[in-house]
Amino acid sequence: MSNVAESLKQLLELSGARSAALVDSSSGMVLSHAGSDAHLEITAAANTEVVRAQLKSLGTLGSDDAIDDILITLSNQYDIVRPLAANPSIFLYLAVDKNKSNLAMARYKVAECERQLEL
Amino acid sequence: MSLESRLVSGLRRSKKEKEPDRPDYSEPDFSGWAQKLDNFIPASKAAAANAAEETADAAPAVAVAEVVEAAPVAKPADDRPSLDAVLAKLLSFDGAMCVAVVDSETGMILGNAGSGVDIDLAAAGASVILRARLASAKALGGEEHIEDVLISLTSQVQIIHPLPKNPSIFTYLIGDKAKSSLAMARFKAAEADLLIQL
Repeated sequence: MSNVAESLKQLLELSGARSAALVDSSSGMVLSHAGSDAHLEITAAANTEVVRAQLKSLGTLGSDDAIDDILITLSNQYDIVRPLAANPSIFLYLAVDKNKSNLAMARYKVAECERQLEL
Repeated sequence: MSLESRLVSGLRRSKKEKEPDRPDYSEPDFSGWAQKLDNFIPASKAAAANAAEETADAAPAVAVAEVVEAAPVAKPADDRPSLDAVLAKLLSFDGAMCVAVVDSETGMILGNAGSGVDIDLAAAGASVILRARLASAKALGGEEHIEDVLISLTSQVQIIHPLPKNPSIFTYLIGDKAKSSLAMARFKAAEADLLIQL
């Protein structure tokens, strides 16, 4: 078990990692972050919208599925969003460089980090 | 009834019902469209030129109907398959449940195949997701180019893949999580880019 700041720092050790954050999707606020991203607040808000939209869509569909993760491929970056199993309104966010990273590995690391996270 | 044939019959109906003193709007000039499409698809330019000649030879009233039917399928001389054929091909990945081509601006489905999901609702939801992300990206100041969004749920995987040529239209794939490979479905979605013609 590790605390939030430590876990995020560990995520950043992944090759190609740009920034990592823990975000509260009910408010869009960044609870904790690591790495240097000037736009972190805005990307966190953007991903908050995505998570909310997906949760709303699941609600309308009457599905009892939960979100495991959402991977967004941009021109030169992957965004990995993973709501915590223990608290789906809070999600882990990791941005990795598309050319320097391995999406499968990054996704695995985020899943691992989520399991170990202690709020 | 397909969208195209409904459009065509709508056009014909409005032609019959038009009032005599109104200008005739019922036969729009589609030749400009064809030209624009040609510019969009340089590879098929030569073939398209042949087709344009053929349509020009036909009588004007028939030509309108022909072009209306042909326009959604880009150029008839193109050897790319129809939307239904592409959807059937998309549905061929392991564990596929439903595939659709969706207009994210309206959330409406342009074509779909498969079953097991309320695709209308799911497509509307996916449109909201895509729009939410794009709108937030605009707030960031720059235009963001989304290649795809992969969503893993407890029992499903979903892929939202905007078309590179027209990012407001996206292919939407839903698969059974236990049976399908996210990477394979993603590959299929990217592969279909070259085939889809709207």
